[in-house]
Parts: sequence; structure tokens; C-alpha cells
Amino acid sequence: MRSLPRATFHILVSLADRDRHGYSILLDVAERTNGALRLSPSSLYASIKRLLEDGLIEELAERPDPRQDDERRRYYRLTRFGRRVAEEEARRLARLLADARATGLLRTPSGRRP
Amino acid sequence: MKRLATSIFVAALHLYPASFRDEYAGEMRRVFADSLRNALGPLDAVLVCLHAIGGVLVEAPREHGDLVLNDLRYAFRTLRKARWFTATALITLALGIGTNTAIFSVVEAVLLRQLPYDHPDRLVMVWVRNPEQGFDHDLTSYPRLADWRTDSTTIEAFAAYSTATHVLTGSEYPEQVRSARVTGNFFQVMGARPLAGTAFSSGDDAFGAPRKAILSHGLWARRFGADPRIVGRAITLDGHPYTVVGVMPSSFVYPARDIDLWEPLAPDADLRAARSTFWLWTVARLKSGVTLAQAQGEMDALSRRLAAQYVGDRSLGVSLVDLQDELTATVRPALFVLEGAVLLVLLIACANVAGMLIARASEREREIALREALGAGRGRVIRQLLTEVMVLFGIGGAIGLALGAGLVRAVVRLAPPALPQLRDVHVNWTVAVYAVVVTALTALLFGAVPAIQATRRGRADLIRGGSRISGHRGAAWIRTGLLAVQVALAFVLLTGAGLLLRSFAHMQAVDLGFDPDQMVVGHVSLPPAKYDAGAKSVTFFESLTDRLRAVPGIQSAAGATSLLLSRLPVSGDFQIEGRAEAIRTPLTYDAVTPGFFRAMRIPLLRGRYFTDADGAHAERVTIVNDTTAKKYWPAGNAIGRRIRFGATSPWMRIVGVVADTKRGGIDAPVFTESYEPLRQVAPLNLWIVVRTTTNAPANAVQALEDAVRAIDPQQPVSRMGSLHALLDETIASRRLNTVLVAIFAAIALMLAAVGVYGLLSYVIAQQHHDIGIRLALGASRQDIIAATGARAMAAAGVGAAGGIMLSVAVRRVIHTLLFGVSPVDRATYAAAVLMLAGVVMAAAFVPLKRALRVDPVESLRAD
Repeated sequence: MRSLPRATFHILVSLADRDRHGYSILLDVAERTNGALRLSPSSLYASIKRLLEDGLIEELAERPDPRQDDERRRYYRLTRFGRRVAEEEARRLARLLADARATGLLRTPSGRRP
Repeated sequence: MKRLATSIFVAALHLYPASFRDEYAGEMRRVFADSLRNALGPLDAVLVCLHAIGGVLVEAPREHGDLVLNDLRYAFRTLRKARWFTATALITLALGIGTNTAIFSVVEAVLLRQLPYDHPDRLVMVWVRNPEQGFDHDLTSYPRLADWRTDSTTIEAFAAYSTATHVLTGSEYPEQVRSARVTGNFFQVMGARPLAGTAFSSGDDAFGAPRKAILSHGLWARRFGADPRIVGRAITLDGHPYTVVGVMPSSFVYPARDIDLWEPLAPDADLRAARSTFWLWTVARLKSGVTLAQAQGEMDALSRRLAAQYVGDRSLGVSLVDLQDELTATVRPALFVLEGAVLLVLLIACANVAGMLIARASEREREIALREALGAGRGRVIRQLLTEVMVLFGIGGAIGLALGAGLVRAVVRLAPPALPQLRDVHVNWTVAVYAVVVTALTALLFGAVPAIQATRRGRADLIRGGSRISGHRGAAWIRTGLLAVQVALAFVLLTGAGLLLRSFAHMQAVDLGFDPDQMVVGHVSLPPAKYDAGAKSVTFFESLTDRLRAVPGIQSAAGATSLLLSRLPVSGDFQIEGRAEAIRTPLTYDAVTPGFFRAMRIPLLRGRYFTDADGAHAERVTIVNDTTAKKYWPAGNAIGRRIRFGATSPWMRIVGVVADTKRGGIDAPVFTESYEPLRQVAPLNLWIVVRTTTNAPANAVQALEDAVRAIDPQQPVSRMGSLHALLDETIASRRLNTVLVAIFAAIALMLAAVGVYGLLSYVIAQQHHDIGIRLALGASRQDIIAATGARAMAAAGVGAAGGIMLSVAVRRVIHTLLFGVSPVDRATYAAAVLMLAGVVMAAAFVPLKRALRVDPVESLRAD
């Protein structure tokens, strides 16, 4: 399986804990990457469109919390398939990280060599 | 400020495809507004803006690309599914585009491309207008050239030339070469420079000046291995050394493609003074800024002055002809006809494809409506349909261009020597693109517009369910109209091809006045230095014919100074003994061996043929043709009269009258002609004619070559071959035209058949339901055929009527190419009508049979 584009994976990750609208995804990604990945509206929706087409995410018909929400916003959620794909990618990255540690490329979190 | 930024962003969003914009523009605007609102100060706000707009610039083209790829994939899939539609459309497009590309490439190369000389638009051919002798484009004499040179102020310079043949020796085999003898300023006037060495200069054409030659690229490559050191060396022509001073590039082929070399024209004192000897071709270069009309006006005035000054110039004028027009004059009418023919094919192809697209669009209304109902926007569907049309035209165009390139090569291969310009033809890509675009635009107009309408109509129809016929009446009418147009255009092509074919058949059937079967010919030109005109050349030619006659398989051998006559044959003014006036209608004169008329089977009408007794010291005798005898001795008493060419030449007694021949060309009038016996003229050039007993020209050609070598190993023979081949050359371009127009007419007919088939199939498919009802109600098969076939028959009838009118209207175009046939020949028109009717019926047969197989029960159940 080929690896997911960076932006795509980040979007999947940010949808993992809850359903979000576009701006919320954008903020979440920026926060988690410490501002290193700032999605433009264009790249955000290009990714969303592809994820929708591929069936990794879906648009919510109802709004999660009508009180605090502008009713026009569209919310997205991971599909079962999308969750599996994201998990797979996360595992792949974890394996890669483990490999990097095993070869001594990276130190283990405690700072000691194994 | 934020509002301005937002509106710029929203404007930028228009770079996206509409379908994407419809879906996400609102969301993106909101995200952008949120980002801007939460920006950490003005600098961050600017960064947010730049980031957002930069993102649009990157992502929008990508979205378009995705869409195009999707559409292409879809287009290929649907085209592959509609196999018959695709194949027919592609063939139609390829034929239309291919034929146009090929013929227009030829037209461009021959008619439109400028000559490869400096300022070719200033070059003119200078002809003497000689109405009294019946030549509107005659040659000129040296004194007259000199007068023009001194007196003209609008013409920068005049150059003159004549042609000659030489024997080139000095390597393993002797070769007869063609030379152009040119005035010293010839190359300057033409605006052409040698590839190597120098051009002639004005001193080179003095009588007795050192002999110099400039080689053609062809001769240089063929005989001298393209050796650049040739310049400065000597070559041997007719036994004389000539210094090679230059080599011309291959693009310079003036005055003719078969010219091997150029040498200075160095006329002796007699020729310089002979005002009434017409022997020079003249080209001139207009001064910069002078128009052809101004120069013509001046030359007219000059001619009037000369006419007042010299008796011989009394009826002479001058006519200037643009050099490019002059060189293309013979092929222009044919090319116009061909260009017209392929344009008709293109129009038919356009009509055909348009009809097919209309039919397809209405067949697909349900599919289109379904896609719209499933949420595809109208723009999206139209975009998809356009992509499909573009794919169709892309592929059709590519096949067409390949076909065009092949056709160009075929035409070049078939090109007769009379059309030398054809040899330089390449595919013209501008033309090719033009043909593709024209077809594409037509198809878009006729094909995409209905498709767009279908998107409008489709949804309602789908909802209504049935009623397919009502919405298609318009489309069916347009198709019927297009079919009528196709039939009309095909009719024009058919009559054109028919007329050309009949002309060609007429030409083949013309009695030449001699029998060209089983004849082999060759031209022998003796070098004057070796064979002074006189006893030596006569001995050579007589021993040559004697030798040939002794060869088994050769029935007779003879010779004549000219065999076929050109537009300006060797001829002169003459006098009849006892009549005061000099006769200005030119009489041709040819030296012939005594056996010439028998060998050619030219019948003797009165008197006798020449015999060996007509020798150099016997009484000078001549034989005239029937036209001459009837013109000057209408009482039939030509025999025994005496004529002479000019006051200083001897009187010749007419001893025989022979039948007229078509030596001047099948489609040319018969000249007044005369012949003299070989021994009394002693020419240096002779066409040898050999009649064989069997049809084995190769043996006779070999025998001719052997016989010449046996007498003089250094003597070449040129232009050897069968007399039929020589005659064919004169009608080769006519044959090429005829073949091409016939091919185009066949294509037109085929496309019209496709049109008929398509229309009927369509109408019957649409009326399937109706036909079922009618059959159920007891209609007979004939009724059904009448009801469905009527439309196609009506279209064909209207088309044929239109075609007849159109053919009559454009008859002038083809008029010059016809021979022995009226441009509105009834038999041809009738044949065209019958042929079209046959093709229409044949094309209608299959779909009509399908209509008869309609099962009433099933067709009703379907609804």
C-alpha cells in the first residue's frame, strides 16, 4: 500500500476523535503540527473532495451540536473504511519509527540506546 | 479590508471548474473568512491571504486536469461502445481532412508559394504578341531585345535565353545534356546566386568570348560526384572545352527542370541583326515600385514606336506576364478544379458528421437526462459532450493527416513531368490544422448545439417517460436537410468526374493521323564540331536507319527533326511562287527520311512520298499536309507549285500532300505543316522512329542504342522509349486530374450513402413504436416503406435537383479541362442521377428491411 499524502493523513487523524467542519480541521492540523502544516482552503478542500470520492470520509447529514454551530457548515466524519486506512497508515509509520530506533537512527524516548 | 480580501478570494475561486465551485466554494469562503478573522495581527492576515490565493492557483488547474482526464476516459469508453458511430465518423472525418490536406498542400506549393528568387514578384515574362501569326505568346529577336533594353525606363533589366543540346564527353559514357544559353545578366535578373563559383557577367555573352558553363546541381551531382573542385576546371561539350565557373543550387531550375547547364548566349553578327528571327525567350525584372500595368503601358507605347519604325514590327505587340503566373498557367485550372472537388468532399463530410452527431445527441437524451437527474450539473454534461466531440475530431484529424501525408506522396509519385512543381510538395501543416478546425467547428455547430438542447429537453422527457418522437422532429428535419445538401454536393462531384472521364475517353479515341502502336523513338543530336551540318550528318542518319532496318523484329526505321510539336513549333513565314504577298501564317518545316511517312503510316493523299532521288543536288522538293494544301490551294492543285521561306532561300516544289496528323497535341488545332527530304536539309538533330513487328519495345530500344554506338561510340541517344509513352506524357496531367476527381467523386458517393443509411436507420429507430402501431392497425409493408423511405427519397430528390442547378452554375470552372464534351452533357448528368438513385436505394435497403421486421406486439409492449 502506498503511503497517504501528508495533508490527507493529517485530516484523517484530526477526524479520528470527532466529526469536524473544514475550519476546525484546519485549526486542529495546525495545532497538532505546531503550525508546521498550515492548510490553505484550496488544499483542504482538494483533499476533502478526494477523500469523499474514495469513501474515506463522509459528509454528515445532521449537525453534531446545533447550539454552538452555524447551521450552514458541513461536517465530515471518518467512514469505517477511512478509519481502517488511517490506522493502517499510523501502524506503518509506527513500524517505520521502530525501525529507525532499532537501527540507532533515533534515540528511544528515555534517551538511552537499547 | 477583510471584505476586500474575501472578495478577491471569491473571485479567484472562479478559476475552479464550475462543478467543484458549486460544491465547495461556499465552504472555502467560510474557512477563509474564519482564518482571516482569527489572524494574529495584520502581517498574519496578509500571509493568510497569500497562502489562500496561492493555494487556489495551485489547486484549481489540478481540478481542471482531473476533470479533463475523467471526461477523456468517459469519452473513450462511450465511443468504444458506439462502435459503428465511431468508425463511420472517423472514416468520414479522415477522408474529408485527408483529401483537403493533400490537395491544398499541392495548391500551396504550386500556386501560392513564391519562386525561390530575390523579389520574385518583380519578375515578368516578356512575350511578343503576334496576332497575325496566331501566337499571343511568341518569342522575340535579338534586335528587338536590344530596342527594349535601350528604351524601357520601368524595367530594370531584360535577360534572354534559348536552349540547346550538347554531347558531354570525358568520362566512361557520352551523355546528351540540355543547356540554356543565357545573356550575361541572366542570373542577376533572376536574382539567383551560384552555390559555388560565380555567375556570368555582362562581358561573357560577346561573340567569340571564352566558353564558360555553370552546372546544374543535378548534373554536378550525377556526373561529377558533387566535387567542389569542379569550379575552374574544363569539361568537354561537343568536343569543345568549357570552363566551369559555377554550380547552381538545386532550387534553381529555371527555365526548365531538365536543364543540365547554363552557358553564355553568344549570338553571331547575323543573329544580332536578324529582326524577324524569333528565337529568344525573355525574362525581365521590373524596377522597384513599378506595377505590371505601368510596365505594360510603357511596353505598349514602345511597341507602337517600333511598329512605326520597322515594317516587320507593324502588327507586333508585347505582353508582360508575371513569372509565377506564367509557370503555373498550365496547371492552374486543373488545381482549381481539384481544390473545388476536395472542398465539396469536406462539406459533405461535415454535413455527414453533423447529421451523425445530431442523431447521437437525440438518442442519448435519456442518458443525459439520467446523468442530470443523478446530480451532474448541466455545464458538467455539456463539458462532457464537448470532450467527446473533441476526442472524435482529434482521432479523426490524426487519421486524416496521416491519410493526407500518404496522398501527397502518392500525388508526387504520380506527378507527370509536365508538372515539375509537384515534386517539391510536402504536407502543409497550416492547411491540415485548418481542415481539422473547419470540420470541428461545423460539427460543434451541428453536433454540440443539439446536445446542449438535449440537456434542456432531456429531464422533462425522462419524467414524461414515453413520447420520444415529438422532441425529435426538429433533429430529423435538420438531418434531412443535411442529407439533401450532401446529395447535391455529391452530384456536382459525380458530374465533374463523369465529364472528365468522358473527355479522357474522347481523347483516347482521337485519330492521331499516325499509328503509334509498336513504335519506339529516340532523339539523336550530333555535335556540330564533329559532324558539320551536311554530308557527314546525312551519312550518319542514313547508315543508322539502314542498320536498324536490318535488325530482326524491326519493320521500318526512319527519322524526322520534330516528332511532336510544341506550342511554338519551328516554323516560318513563306512565299508562294506567283503570289505577291508574303504569307505570315507560320508554316512548320521538318526534315524527314524518305521512309518517314510509311513508317508512321501517314497516308499520302496526292502526289508522291520522298525518295532517295531527292538528294542534295536534285531539285528542292517539299511535302505539305492536307490543311496547308486546302488553305492555299483550295482547288486541289497544290502539286507542282513552288514555295520558299524568305527571299534568300531556294524555291521548293510541292511533290506530295499527306494527311493531317495531331502532332501538335490531341487537343490542339492542326498547324499548316511542311516536310523536306533529309538529304536536302542535312540537320544535326533527328528523332529516330522504329516500328517493330512484335510488341517488344525493350529490344528495339536496345537495338537503337547499339546501332548508334556501332557508328559512333561517343554518340549518346536521349529520350528513348515507346511512342505511346511519349504521347502519354502530353496527357499525363489530364489523366492525373481525371483519376483524382474520380476518386473524390467516389468518396462523395460513399459519404452520401453513409448519410442515407444513417438518416433512415435513425428515422426508423425513432419511429419503431409508430411502425408497430401501424402494423398492428393493419398497414401493409408497402405503406411502411413509403412512410419511412419517403423522407430519404425526398431528400435525395431535392438534393439531386439542387445538384443539377449547382453543376450548371459551376460549369465554367471545369470548362477548360473538357475535351469534346459539353459542360452540361446530358448523358453525364443522366448517368449521375441514375448512379445517385442506385446508391441511395442500396443504402436505404438495410434500414428499410429492419423496419419491416418490426414486431407490432413487441414494440407496443416496450412502452
